[in-house]
Amino acid sequence: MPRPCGCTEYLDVSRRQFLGLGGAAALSAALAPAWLPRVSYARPGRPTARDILVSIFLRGGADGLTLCVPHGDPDYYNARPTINIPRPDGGDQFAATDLDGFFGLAPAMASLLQPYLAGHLLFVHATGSVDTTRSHFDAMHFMEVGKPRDPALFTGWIGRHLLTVPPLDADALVRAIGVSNGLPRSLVGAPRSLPFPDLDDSSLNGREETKDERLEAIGDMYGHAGSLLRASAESTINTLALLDAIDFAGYIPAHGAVYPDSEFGYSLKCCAALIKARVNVEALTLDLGSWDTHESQGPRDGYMAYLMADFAGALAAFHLDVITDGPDVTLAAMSEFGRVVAENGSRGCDHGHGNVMMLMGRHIAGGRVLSQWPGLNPDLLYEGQDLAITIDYRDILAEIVQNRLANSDLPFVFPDFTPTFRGVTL
Amino acid sequence: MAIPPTFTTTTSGTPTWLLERLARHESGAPGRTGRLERLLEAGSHPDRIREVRRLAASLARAQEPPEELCSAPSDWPGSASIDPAPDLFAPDGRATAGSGAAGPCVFDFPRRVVDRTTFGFSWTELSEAYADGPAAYLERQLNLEQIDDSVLDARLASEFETLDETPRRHVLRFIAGDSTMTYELLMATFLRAATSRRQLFERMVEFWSDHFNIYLYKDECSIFKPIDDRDVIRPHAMGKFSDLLRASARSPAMLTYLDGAFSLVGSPNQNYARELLELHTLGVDNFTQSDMEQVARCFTGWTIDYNVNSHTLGEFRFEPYWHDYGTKRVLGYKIPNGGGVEDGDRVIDILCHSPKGAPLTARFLARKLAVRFWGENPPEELVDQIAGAYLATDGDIRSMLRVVLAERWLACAPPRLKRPFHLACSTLRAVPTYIQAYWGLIYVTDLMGQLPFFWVPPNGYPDAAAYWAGHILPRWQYSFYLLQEQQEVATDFAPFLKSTAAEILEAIDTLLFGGQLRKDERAALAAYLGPAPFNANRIIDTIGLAIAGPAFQQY
Repeated sequence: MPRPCGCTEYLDVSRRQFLGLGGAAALSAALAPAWLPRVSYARPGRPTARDILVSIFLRGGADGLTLCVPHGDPDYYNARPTINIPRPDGGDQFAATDLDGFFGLAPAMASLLQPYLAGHLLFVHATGSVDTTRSHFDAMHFMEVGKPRDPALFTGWIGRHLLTVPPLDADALVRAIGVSNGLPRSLVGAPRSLPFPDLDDSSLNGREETKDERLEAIGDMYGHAGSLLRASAESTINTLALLDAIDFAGYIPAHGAVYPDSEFGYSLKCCAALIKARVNVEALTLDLGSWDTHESQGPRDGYMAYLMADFAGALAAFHLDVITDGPDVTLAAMSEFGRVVAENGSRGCDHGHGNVMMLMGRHIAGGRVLSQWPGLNPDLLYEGQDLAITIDYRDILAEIVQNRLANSDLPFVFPDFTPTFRGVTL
Repeated sequence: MAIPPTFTTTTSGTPTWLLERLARHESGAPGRTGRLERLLEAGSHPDRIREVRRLAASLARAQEPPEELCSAPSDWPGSASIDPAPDLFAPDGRATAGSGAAGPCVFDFPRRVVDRTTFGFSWTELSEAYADGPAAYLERQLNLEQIDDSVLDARLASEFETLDETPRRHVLRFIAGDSTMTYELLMATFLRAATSRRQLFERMVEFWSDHFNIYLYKDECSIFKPIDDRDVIRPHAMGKFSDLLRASARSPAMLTYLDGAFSLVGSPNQNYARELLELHTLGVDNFTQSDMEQVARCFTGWTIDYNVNSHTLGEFRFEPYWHDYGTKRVLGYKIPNGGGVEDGDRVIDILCHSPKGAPLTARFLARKLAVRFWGENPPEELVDQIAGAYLATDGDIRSMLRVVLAERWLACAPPRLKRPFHLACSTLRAVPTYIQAYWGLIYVTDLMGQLPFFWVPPNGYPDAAAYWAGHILPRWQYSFYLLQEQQEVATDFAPFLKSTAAEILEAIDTLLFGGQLRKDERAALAAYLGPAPFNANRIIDTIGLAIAGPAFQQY
């Protein structure tokens, strides 16, 4: 469907802007922090019109009943005799930390208590994609596309969002980055958007000493190419120059925040640096994988505890570093589906349905668990085995898109869906 | 984007990056869920039929109603933001592609034939096309049995051990934790595409591997896809379409990928039925929901032998007790009650040969062939002619190719953007190279976004420039990687190591572009090369730039 969108901006990147990165940048070196030595696009004092979106996909089907434990539901303990998180009051060393009298956090997630108590972290439980699939690939596809079971729709919900809002800054070199190999489905369709698996090491490979020279030659050659390839090359070269100018390794997080020494922790730290460089990137996506815990789930001190500590530690650091007093950011974390309520014979859980989502931001109505809890009694389960979905995840995302990302074209972002706002934004 | 200079491997010889890559495809790793173990246990039980049926019923419940993921998506990345009629070659304004719009006509038609029927131009092919004329060259490529490919055959035989093994052997390997057949399929695919003398055949293997897409890591597909490649795609890639379709319908890889292996009377799985109609034959909107449901009933009982004690373990098996023996009606044709395995064959006949089915299938295939070999948005007349060849020859694939590759159409076809696998192979073909190890090649092709057999939805890797053009940095990475990792792909730089810029550029022009290097690219390369004297690194970087440039990305 033809839409008024960023078509022309994508095609009409001027020759000047192509190679003359410096010309587009209003250098204000005096104000730049030390880790941003060579470049600053900052326009201090200029209020941002809308939040930057950080979208995290927990790939593999993260077990929402462990990420946010329904310790007040006795059926949880009936279904998970060996891989539960004990009740908060039991004195067990792995006991949950209570959040609201019904839900709690596993010890490995305890670092999220601070953002929660600050009112910036919201859990939405018994949510997810209403698509019935139990295939990872289908579930991720439909969730990232933002519409279940539409064979023709190939763009992602963030891609369509960016297509329908003007750029935050018309001169911005890149509007969205997928911190991954290849653009994630959610970003497909977004103008000026590229994948970079490692923000800190995004450059032409080969001999270091001729890198810039070779990139210039490539730019020269693509300047004569047809519009499709030329636009792609311009966007790529500009973004490379931008990322190269930021000293990610030297970035010092605010308030002494310490990101976990992990790939995910470092990726999120680099995102923080990029956001604070105020280059007007509008959306960042990250992946954290390996949540497919069919066996030996280990929610207390095993495998999943290790994953959760990484995830929660990175989010807690990002909260201290960015959310507390940095640029306006809304962070959303989701997974393609939850896991079967009852544990299987291998002390794991198989592919399920309903799950938990996490939102973080200064303008998120956090410090609570939003849920219309359907219960875990076997009679109440979806298809007799799963947590039912009582809140469509698009209700949550649509509210963010409209209220925090300043885009009211919800029928385009989430086609054929009428969202019910749940009051997740302030 | 860090490309490791060397590839650390685990004790099993599998590169660690591949394990990480696969970890992202976990549900596809059968060992993780024990799915295969459960199937084999049931398949080998004394009361095998009941046991497998019980298990199949539970798996079928967990399986989903059919997903139809993809049909000619209208909104690929950037297609809303990028001109849908990309002028790949022309500097501003000179449109060369569009709705039926041809490109500038080429007068070096032998060159065009070689470009369009290979994984990249090479002088070996071009010399033949010049010497024999394009028509004779094309006929020889179409009659692949007459092409001597003994060099490749010898290399395949010496480097790989699983290519000729039985399905049973592959299943047993897998049970023992050995995935050699899966990796060898990937490696052999590169070696064949890059070095086979049967280039058009290899292009058709790629075409049908897209058409009958199988994602390598869905359930047991990693075991069965190597056999599918050998026994389904390759024997029939240049034969009759109906033979290809019949073989595909019986392929354990396809039965696994589209859930046909667990389709039972009373609860038929419709996944295969839908894609058979929508993606393999008729095309979307050319059949009814009822057609699809009836087709699903016809294929009930088409499954795989999961009995570890059977000599045909891992092969096609018809399970009579699972079959729906009722009357069915497909596209208006009645399939009488009482039929067994022949019900499915009857469906294939209807789709391929019947007055109602054949024209739809012919057009659907004709359009895809036209897009692949002519270009995007092919003229309707071309599609009609290819479809006409199908109908005149009862689906002879060579006859369809003769139409689209004829000078009348091909001479003025618009330029095409190489897809990543094509780009990888074309580089190996243009520059004098020898593949010594494959993991690096597989790794960088994966970064470019098109590792063979890794496309998840059933529609196959997209064949549209707008889909691929945005992901361009890894293409640049690829060219510099290739020339610098000599322990992976050895390159003979001798032809390029000359003392004057003119000679070096001449070598690049000749070997990489067959003498058709564009003036502006030559100027850019000359500027990079700078003044003499030249050291080897400078020259090698210049070759890398020539590969990274826009002209080499197209064909």
